[in-house]
Amino acid sequence: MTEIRQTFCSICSSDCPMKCLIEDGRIVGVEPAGGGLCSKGAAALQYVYNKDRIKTALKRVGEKGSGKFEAVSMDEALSITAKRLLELREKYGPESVVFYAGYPKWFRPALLRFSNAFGSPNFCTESSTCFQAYALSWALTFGGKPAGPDLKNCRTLVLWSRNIFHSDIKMGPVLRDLKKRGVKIIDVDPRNTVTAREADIRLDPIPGTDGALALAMGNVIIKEGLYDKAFTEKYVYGFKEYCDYARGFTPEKAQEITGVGAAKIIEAARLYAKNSPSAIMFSASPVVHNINGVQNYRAVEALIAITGNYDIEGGNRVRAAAAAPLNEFGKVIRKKESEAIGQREFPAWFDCSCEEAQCIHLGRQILTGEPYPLKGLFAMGMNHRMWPKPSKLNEALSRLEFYVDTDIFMSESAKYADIILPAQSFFEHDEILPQRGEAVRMRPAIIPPYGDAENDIVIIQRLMKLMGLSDDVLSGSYDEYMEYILSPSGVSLKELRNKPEGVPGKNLIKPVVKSYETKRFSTPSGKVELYSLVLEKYRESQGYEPLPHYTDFREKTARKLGSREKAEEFKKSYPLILNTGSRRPQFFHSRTYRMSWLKNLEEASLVEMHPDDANERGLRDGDRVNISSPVGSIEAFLSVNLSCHPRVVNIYHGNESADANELIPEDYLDPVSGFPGFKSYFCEVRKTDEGSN
Amino acid sequence: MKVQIKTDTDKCVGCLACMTACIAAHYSFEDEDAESFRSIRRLKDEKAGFQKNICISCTHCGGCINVCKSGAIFRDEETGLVLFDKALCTGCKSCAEVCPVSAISYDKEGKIKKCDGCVDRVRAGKAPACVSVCYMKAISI
Repeated sequence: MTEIRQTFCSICSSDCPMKCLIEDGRIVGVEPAGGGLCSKGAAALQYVYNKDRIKTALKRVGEKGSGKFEAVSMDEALSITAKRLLELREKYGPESVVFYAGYPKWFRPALLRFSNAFGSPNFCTESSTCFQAYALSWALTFGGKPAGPDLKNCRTLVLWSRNIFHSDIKMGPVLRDLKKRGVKIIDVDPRNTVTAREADIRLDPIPGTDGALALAMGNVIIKEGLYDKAFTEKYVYGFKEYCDYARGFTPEKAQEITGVGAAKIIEAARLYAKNSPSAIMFSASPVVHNINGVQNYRAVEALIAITGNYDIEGGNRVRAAAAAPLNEFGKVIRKKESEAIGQREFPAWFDCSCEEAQCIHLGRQILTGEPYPLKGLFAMGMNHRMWPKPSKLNEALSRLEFYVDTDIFMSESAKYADIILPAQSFFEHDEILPQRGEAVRMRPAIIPPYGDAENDIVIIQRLMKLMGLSDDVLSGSYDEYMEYILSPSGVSLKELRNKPEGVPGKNLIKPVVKSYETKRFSTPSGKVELYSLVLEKYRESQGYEPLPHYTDFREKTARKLGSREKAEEFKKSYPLILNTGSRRPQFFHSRTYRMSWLKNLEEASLVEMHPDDANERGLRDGDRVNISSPVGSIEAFLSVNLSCHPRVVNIYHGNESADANELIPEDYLDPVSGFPGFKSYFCEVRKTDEGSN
Repeated sequence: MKVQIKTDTDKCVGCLACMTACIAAHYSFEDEDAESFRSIRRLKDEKAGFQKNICISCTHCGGCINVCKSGAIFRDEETGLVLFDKALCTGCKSCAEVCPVSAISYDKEGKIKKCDGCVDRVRAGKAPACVSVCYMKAISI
């Protein structure tokens, strides 16, 4: 008999409602439970029953990294783990052990609690290279968490580096509805994407020049008197300094820097300022993946402040709709008694605390022991491919005294572990979804666990018990923990289990508008800080600029080379800009390359290039090419693509066969956030010796 | 009765969901080499400096039925879909020659392979897999 159960797909982060057809405890088919599914969700069976699934706990028997393991019971694996972690704490101190969370994100609060109870300041996540720099740019400017676009009420919507049709297809129909309602769309993206195609105004800056573009838009808005005088006077700190600085970014100057025509910049600035309320839809990473990323995004965010589009109906809202409150997500505080990884180098990250360490230099610290030794790693979903020069991180992992990885799949990073714990897929356990909107939602357990696979949070609970670590809310059963998460909403676990599609919260936090009238901004000045007092504090020690300063990555790279000749030589050797990691619809970081139906849809190793650049190099579509940067080279197939920005090539990341991150130097970072410049480095593309495909 | 499966190439954004939904509807997840009956095409607008992928498949127009000498291709009376009987196929490839959207290919044995309109789903009152997953409502039957 076929049973139908509903859940929310968690292969990527879009949470699409999904119906699963189940026979004899196995999923035999999936169907959309909402408007559709994406290519990844539709291939869900290749995810849950993938040949790389880890079935039992494993103990290393060969050399580290050799991938030689023997199956052991969960009890044995957990007791070895507990014993070794306690030994490391005794011998080197609690800070020597790192607690790391990769994808997905639902268990992170529990892992942070584990790290806290152990006494380590080093709770780290993959957000050291994804999202958190955007949150930091926002916290520096407005205090608090990023305010989203009020789509229901906006008249102009700016999509700043977001190709929603390929990164979040669920939002596709929403965008088309906005257009039907007459909302004007401004799209900012170097590529002429399917999303850009539907925009009223398309701005196509060279990757990494967003700051100059935004400053020029600010310049126009100020010069033409289109700014909000009342809001800037009362609520903005450093408005005058910002105006003085933006004055230097005329549309003509910005055209030189960004490649976007001056007239287009003026047109976009006028539309955004005049056809209000206007909202900006941001993106987790594209803008902040630049060595001036935080400041570039601050320059974009400044547009919201100077036009008074902050927390008004139709603008960027702190909370545009009612929400059911939940415990845990974003509410667990990291233990801060000792120095965390990255704290010396990236102090603003820790001032505007996001409750995790900045582990971009995890590998370096393991290898050098500076500023203090790291000896152990308890990871859930370690994936070295999130870092620049990923192979170097795996080398470092092999030097740890003890490393545990928990994963659904046998990843390459897992192969370096001493113990591997098998994790359950999202189909195999109950999990409460983070707060979003009025409904409380869960992913229910709809099939039995795969082999000995265990729920991540139960693994944490069992380990804490074995290690004698206590915590206020994790010490009971997993169901009790879920009840604790749910409690502020007034919805019980039982009610939610009966309605996995979601239950409206009984207690709701009301939507707010103009929250700043009653509550000061959570910045040092209590205002929107176009002039950041946090950044000013580190002006001398770190060289940070308090204003949303534009530093061009090309000029900075040239300066570092030391001489004009060397800079010219560099430009000749690597004339193309390398943009990595812009979403392709079938991939999500590394995980879906292992699903053959997705991998085989198009060439998985693909580099996209404008026809002019291809012609100049005598390259043809489908050619096998070599992409080289100053620090590495990879091979891929060429896709000649009219939608590419000339002189910019695009490669998706996370690919075992052609890892774009191997082309990015480890120290090519934004000094404020520590984020790598993944979206704007330098390369050259040539035909390989084997020639065409 | 005749039916058509149409893809609106303006609405299609190349998300590729129909491609894997098609594979999932016809093959076991263990079939690593399984291929979709739909295919990816590039749509170019040189003047606008734009190109995108679109996914298309058999529209069930039936043009192949008349050229098939062995009678392997026929229109299903109940659903109106254009179906085929592999056992009768001689692999002459004349069907592929007349297909206006190049939606017919051949398996390892040289026998016809094409979209069956998810005939079992349609008989059960469900939409074909590609239609049901398409967020943009670009595919219709």
